[in-house]
Amino acid sequence: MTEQYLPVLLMILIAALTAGLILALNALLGPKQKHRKDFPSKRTPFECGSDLLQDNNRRVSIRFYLIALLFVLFDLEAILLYPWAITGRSLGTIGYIEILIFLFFLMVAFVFAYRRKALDWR
Amino acid sequence: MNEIFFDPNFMMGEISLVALIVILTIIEAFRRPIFVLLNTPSNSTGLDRRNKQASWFAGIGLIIVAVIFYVFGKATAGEHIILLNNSLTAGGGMYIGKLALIGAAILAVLMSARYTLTQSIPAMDYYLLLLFSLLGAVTLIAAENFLIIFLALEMMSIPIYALVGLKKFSTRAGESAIKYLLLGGFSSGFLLLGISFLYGTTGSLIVKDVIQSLNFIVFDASAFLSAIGLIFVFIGLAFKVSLVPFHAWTPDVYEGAGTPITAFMSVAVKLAAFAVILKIFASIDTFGEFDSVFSLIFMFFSLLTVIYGNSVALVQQNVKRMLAYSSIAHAGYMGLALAPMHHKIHTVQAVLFYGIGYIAMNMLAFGVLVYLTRKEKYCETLNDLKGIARKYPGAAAMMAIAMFSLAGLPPAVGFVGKVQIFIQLLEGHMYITAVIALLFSLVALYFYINVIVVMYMREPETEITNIDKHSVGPVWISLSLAALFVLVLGILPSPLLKWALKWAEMLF
Repeated sequence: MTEQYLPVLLMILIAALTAGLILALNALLGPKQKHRKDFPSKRTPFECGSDLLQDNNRRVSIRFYLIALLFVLFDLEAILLYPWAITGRSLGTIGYIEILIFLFFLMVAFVFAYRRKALDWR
Repeated sequence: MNEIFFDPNFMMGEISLVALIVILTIIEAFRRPIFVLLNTPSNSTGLDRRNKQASWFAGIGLIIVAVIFYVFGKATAGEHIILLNNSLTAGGGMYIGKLALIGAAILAVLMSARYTLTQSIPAMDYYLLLLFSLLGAVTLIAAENFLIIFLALEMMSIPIYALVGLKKFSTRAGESAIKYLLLGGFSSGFLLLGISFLYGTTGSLIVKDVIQSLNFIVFDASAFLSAIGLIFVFIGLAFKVSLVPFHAWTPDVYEGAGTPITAFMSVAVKLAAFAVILKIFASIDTFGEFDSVFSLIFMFFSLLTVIYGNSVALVQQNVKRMLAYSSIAHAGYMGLALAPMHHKIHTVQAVLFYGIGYIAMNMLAFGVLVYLTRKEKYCETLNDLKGIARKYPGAAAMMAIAMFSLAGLPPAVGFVGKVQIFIQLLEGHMYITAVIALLFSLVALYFYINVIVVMYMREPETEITNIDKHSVGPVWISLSLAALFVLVLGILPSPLLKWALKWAEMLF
């Protein structure tokens, strides 16, 4: 029963070996850092060897948020149209009317957003 | 009980509500948008005129919707059907609950007609969000399927998150909206996790099927998981009705939100969420000896809620915060009726009656605060109410009626509601629980009566300034309607008790 878990054990061993090997080679072959304070980038949260070009904590225009919200509406519309498109023929006229009602509701929402200048990029 | 896929007669009320929302959205979409900036006088942008029109549209539309709900609800009351592949129940006595929720919305709109004018809030956005929330609440009490329950709960809550923070440039409103949003999302997470556990163990999302296939007599792994699922669902709903370990958002949100919103969310959300709690937990019948465990859970949480709500309300200086803690305590009383696990139909009846009566009395209390609002100054603290009876005797009398009813004194509806709850506790032989709850309703008497004492017997510290004259009429209409309901239902409770029983029959 237990021997079927042997691959898992091997996997753990290989993973530990690989990780240890990489760390050990880095320590052996990489540049030595006698004085940690000589490398200020070592202390930054995201360390990749070079200083940051700019702070990524910038403010983003609220309009992106509105666009994202409207994208969700479009997305849902498309997603809900797919199942109808597949079964549309068998659903017949009633299904067609229902999808028109659904699209009408979404259109109302879009017209509302448009009139409120949610898509106005200025 | 029949299953029909769709029959428009049973859904005409909801359809008319959706139609009202769409019509109002179209009306608002094709008008010139108004952007309210800080410190611009609202007259200069034409906001006041627009707000008045919006109030008329929303009020008259809602009254028409209420009439449609009543006519079609009455016509279909003889039959109890399940619509849309086990998604929604319809017919039967449920229309009384829907009417109560719409009544709460109408009272809120009447108050908001004044509130949006004094606070310069764009009214149509506000009413649309209120109507969406109402649609969610109306769907929630009819939901038969866990996914519909979740959907309706979110449809009810998300507009309220927005409504709480709708007053722009107000840090207090923003703070409470963020708090409510975060905790509401957290509780929805609990609810969804619970639903997924229940689905995993029972393989169904339909409430009745889930309840019937629960089996705790053999307590194996799947019974354990479904017990956890039930408890998580309970936690998610307990956040909405603010039972005690999950109550922390209530006072801050109630204080920060606009007063008509506070009134609406304190009554409608509570009644709708309690209807769901009853639907899920009151019909659980397969516990065997574990029956007492759930009874104990309900007793523990509800008693804790009663004790905590009433004790903390004692020291509040802000009337809105006091009413928030009192609403926590009232949720506790409603929850207590669930503890005795027999005669379930009557316990459900008691809770539903209490919830409907609570709509009238709480709307009345908050309505008086809306009436006394000034533009620059909220009327919220006990200091603001000092000696108000001399200048505004009508408002003080309304507040007194509300306080008597909340305290549970006859002849108001709160008395009848409490009597129903205590009768259920005594019939379930829970004497100690009943005595503790009764003692804490005596504690509650102090802070309710204190408001009346402050209004009638204290001298005002500074001279009472005149209230704004904006749209006082609608507030008076809502106050008199609510007071009428409080007194009439208190003196003649039997019709509502009968309706509540008919509604309760549908939950089993």
